[in-house]
Amino acid sequence: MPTLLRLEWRHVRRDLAFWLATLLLVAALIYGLANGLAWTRFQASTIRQAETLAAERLAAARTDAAKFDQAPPANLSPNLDPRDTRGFEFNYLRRFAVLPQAPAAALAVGQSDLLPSLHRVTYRPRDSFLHNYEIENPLRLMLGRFDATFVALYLLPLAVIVIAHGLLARERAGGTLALLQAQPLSLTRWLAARFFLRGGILLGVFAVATWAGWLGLGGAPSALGAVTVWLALVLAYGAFWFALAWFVASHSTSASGSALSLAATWLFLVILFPAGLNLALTQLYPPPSRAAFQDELREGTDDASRRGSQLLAQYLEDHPELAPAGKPGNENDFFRVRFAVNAEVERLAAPLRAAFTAQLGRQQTAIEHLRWLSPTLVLHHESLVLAGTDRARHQRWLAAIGDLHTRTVDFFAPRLLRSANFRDYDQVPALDFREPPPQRIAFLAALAALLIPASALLLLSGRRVGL
Amino acid sequence: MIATIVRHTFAELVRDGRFRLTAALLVVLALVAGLAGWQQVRALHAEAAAAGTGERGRWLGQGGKNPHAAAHYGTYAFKAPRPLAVVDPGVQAYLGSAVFLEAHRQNEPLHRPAQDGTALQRFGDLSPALVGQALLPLLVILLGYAAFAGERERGTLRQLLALGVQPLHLLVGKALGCIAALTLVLVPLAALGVAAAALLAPPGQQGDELLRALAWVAVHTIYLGAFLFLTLAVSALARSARTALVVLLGFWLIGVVALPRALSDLGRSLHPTPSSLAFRNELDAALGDPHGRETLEAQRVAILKQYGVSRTQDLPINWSGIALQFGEERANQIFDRFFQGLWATLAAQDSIFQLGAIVSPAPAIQLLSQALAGNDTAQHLNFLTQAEQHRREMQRTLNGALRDSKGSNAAFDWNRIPPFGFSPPPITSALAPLLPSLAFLIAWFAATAVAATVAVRRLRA
Repeated sequence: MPTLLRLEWRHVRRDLAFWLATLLLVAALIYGLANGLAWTRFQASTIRQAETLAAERLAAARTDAAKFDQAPPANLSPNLDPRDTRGFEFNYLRRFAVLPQAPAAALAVGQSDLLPSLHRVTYRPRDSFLHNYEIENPLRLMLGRFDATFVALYLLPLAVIVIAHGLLARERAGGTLALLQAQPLSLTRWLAARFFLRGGILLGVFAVATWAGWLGLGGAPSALGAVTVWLALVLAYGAFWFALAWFVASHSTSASGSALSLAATWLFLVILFPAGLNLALTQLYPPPSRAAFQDELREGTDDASRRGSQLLAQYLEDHPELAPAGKPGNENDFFRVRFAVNAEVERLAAPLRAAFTAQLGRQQTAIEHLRWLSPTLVLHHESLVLAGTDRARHQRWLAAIGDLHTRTVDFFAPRLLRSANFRDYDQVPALDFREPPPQRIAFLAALAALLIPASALLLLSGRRVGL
Repeated sequence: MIATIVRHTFAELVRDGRFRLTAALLVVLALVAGLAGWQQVRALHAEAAAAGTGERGRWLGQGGKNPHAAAHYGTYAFKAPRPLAVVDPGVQAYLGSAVFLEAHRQNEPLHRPAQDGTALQRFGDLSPALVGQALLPLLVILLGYAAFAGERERGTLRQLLALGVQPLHLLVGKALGCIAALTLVLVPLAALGVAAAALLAPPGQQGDELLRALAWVAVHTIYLGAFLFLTLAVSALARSARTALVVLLGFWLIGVVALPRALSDLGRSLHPTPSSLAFRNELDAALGDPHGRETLEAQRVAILKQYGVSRTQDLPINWSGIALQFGEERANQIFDRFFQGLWATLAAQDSIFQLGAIVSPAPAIQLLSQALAGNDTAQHLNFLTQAEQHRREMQRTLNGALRDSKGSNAAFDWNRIPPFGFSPPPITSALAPLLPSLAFLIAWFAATAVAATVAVRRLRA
């Protein structure tokens, strides 16, 4: 085998198409890593801005409260007074719930450019703060990002196709295959040397370029573990495509036929199957209408506003501990009525929002099951999970925001309804978002889902090699 | 002679099982995606209309409310999908579909359909546009990569040239034969677009939508024509069919798959947009207090002087109406500065994308197709501009009513605020910013046709 590899190396050195494909792939990978890292830096800077703003406003609340205590200003609106719950909440509290970046976020931008990663959570109905999108060119959202995962999913297989489609057919067409068979040499071993050498170089260069690019372009060294896990999956994916190329080459009589078959398989696995599956799932589990959602919410808000005083009375009946001390009536207080109306709107909106979450959950579950049918979807899913830019993580974060909203309402309710002086600056609830433990089994299953078909294809190919 | 070559090429292609299978698959894919899109367009149209009717009913049923309270109550403008979303949904899924129109604020649109989808949507929407722009070029490559190189490998090219067949006749014959075969796939796509324009367009817009549909078919024909001539040129130049195939697949991969993404990322690097948080903070800081009084003082003094009184209470008109409108006008200037600046940045990013058509015709066809379907960023911004104009007119009327309400108990007639209706820009306006794309596309067609002609003139067996 070493002799074979040495002989094959002489061919590889002169194979212009091989080196061109490898070079273009590495260039694309570096560009993809640079793009991903630029995006994560932009996100990190936005998070810092949010944190700075929150800290500055909190410090201002303390400073202003001390100043107003010493010299109370004349005609200060309660909405601007940090010593009043309303003033603190309205004018000073700028608390953002942030979706933390995973260490390897730059590998796959995923859904992170489409779905918001910070919300200013208030005690108002959730729909007043949940529709906060990042500014982004819609064309860019539609096309998707040129990140490292795009390079691995789309371009790596095409590089394999360019390199490997004619490795057997050209010898067959040139008549040299018969000469080779006349030699005391197993054809399978010869072909294995051809594929393994090229595959080893291409994937090895890809791996080195990933590590070097990550560190060279400013990726966090602490994320190298996650990058390596991603790389293991990508290499398994590359191995699958090499195995497929070998399988097709062993069944094809011409290099053109081999290239066409591989291109058609790529087209199916990388473009048509994911897009078709998405179309099928949106038909099977269509999300409810957002226009109807808005219409119902608006109607419900109007109805709640009309019944404001009645709702406040009912609310205080349910929560007698929140009734203003010594002021049993007070239903005409605009601010308190608004609070009761908000609670009613939130009660009405919850099932409407749940309908969206449920349909999304059904689509997500179907993908969880069906992704095993396509190596592309397996790698895509795992890449997003490793990068922390997948939909499931975002949904968990939204659930944590829901919990924070509930705690925020509970925190402000007694303070707002009883008009207590506000000094609890350090007790405002914060987001409690916890990452689940790393899914080692899922990673191993994904690796197996890529390597098992690759091995099966190799086994099947080995029996077919010949004239 | 040309007619014979056309007949022969066409017959050879339609007899080829691979072509029949691929063509049938593409037609089925396009039709399934198109019919799903058709259903969605109808559903979204009905939902937007129902929500709009509900909104209008609530607006008219406000009763005796203060006009400024009504201004804060506001109204929603819903965006209905355009008929040609059936063939190209464009960026529709990534744009908000409703805008809240209220006092003091120019709001950004809500409810992007893509927010309710999974990560799979980022592989691209399966639509007739995807078929026409990404998959049909592959079919063209499949049809034509062996047109000359294959004949050369089989030795039949030598025979043809020895028979005195003119290379140019060979090119025209083969091109027309391929076009005839491609027509079998293009006709169902064209029919879908024309039918959508004719049957789904609102009354009064059918003419423009039909024109758009025909233009959509025309630009795709030019695009595929460019791919066909490129394929024939490469086939004539390549030493083997395999080389021709690999070169063409490589061009398709770079030009159609990788380049658009790379260009959109490059556009953002060269013309970065601010974060939403920074944009909103800076906007809020510029706006200050919408009811702010300091800049209003000069206006107050002028009004008092005009009416010859010394206190606003003594004015024959309601001062708060004037003050509010003053605040609106001031805020509008700030909104214009911020939003026009932001939109100019998006346009600059798109112009980088447009320039990419020098490298491949794919960016040009993508922009043209979206624009003709009415689903590009520019026409969405046109919707937002019209909604904002409606909001400003609404505030002007309501503040005017408040100004004139002094001493009157008459309730405001809510019908004085008309319902919002979006008038899509005509095809000429939609295409105006994309003339460079159209020029690039035609240039690609002409250049590849010339390249193919030159290549076949040098044809050697």
